[in-house]
Amino acid sequence: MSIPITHYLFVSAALFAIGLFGAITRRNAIIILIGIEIMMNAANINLIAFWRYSDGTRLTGQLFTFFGIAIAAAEVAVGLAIVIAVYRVYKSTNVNEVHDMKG
Amino acid sequence: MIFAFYIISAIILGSAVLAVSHRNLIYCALSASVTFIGTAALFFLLKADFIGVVQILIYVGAVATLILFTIMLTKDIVSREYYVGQKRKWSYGILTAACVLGVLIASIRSQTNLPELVTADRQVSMVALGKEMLTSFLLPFEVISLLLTAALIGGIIISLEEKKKSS
Repeated sequence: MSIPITHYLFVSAALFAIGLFGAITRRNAIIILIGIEIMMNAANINLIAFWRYSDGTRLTGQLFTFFGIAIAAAEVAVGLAIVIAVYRVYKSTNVNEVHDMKG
Repeated sequence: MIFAFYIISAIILGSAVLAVSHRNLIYCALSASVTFIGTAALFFLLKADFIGVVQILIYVGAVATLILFTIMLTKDIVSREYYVGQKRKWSYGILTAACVLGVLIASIRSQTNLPELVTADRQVSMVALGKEMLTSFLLPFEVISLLLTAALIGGIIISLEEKKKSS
């Protein structure tokens, strides 16, 4: 007996919803970044699950996941650099207190 | 095998909830790294060994460490947002996430032609993966390397301390 692919998709959907909740609810920039990373993990689980359940002649799913992980690493590096630069000016990582450019 | 999947899924979801809801940022980062390790375990279950190792190396070794360093550099270890009293915003966030989850689950359940598991065991050699990466996926590979270089330079330049102008 094997696990149907829908269970992987359900786990991935739940993980995506949790990451979305964190990204839109919390006001701390670092937690927002953690939420985005959790959402990217959910997408990667989907890709690998569909690769595993396909006929398996191509490695596209694995390589897409690989590139996705590389993009996530680049994104988090720049994002945390921005957090540090903002903290240097505002002495806070709360995005509600960063409002100089608000119209 | 089947029990392992459900146990790992429970660990992933529980630690993800903790990672986005705890008020102490260090606990948030550590729970997030538990989520990343659990995702790597799911990759191992799905026979994607190389991606699992890459996941541990990059997410746990680099991303989680970077997040921890940023938390320690910014001194806001216990998040101040909790003292403001934003219960209503939390409920809006939960509502939005529940709506998205409902739409996703409904659309997954309505699919009828999802693939079944074809081969019970499948081994992917690193040689095949490397050959595929440097032949059919050569252009994305190069673009990713450019992107990583740009992110490296950008991260250094953004976080550089600006020199005070002596007026």
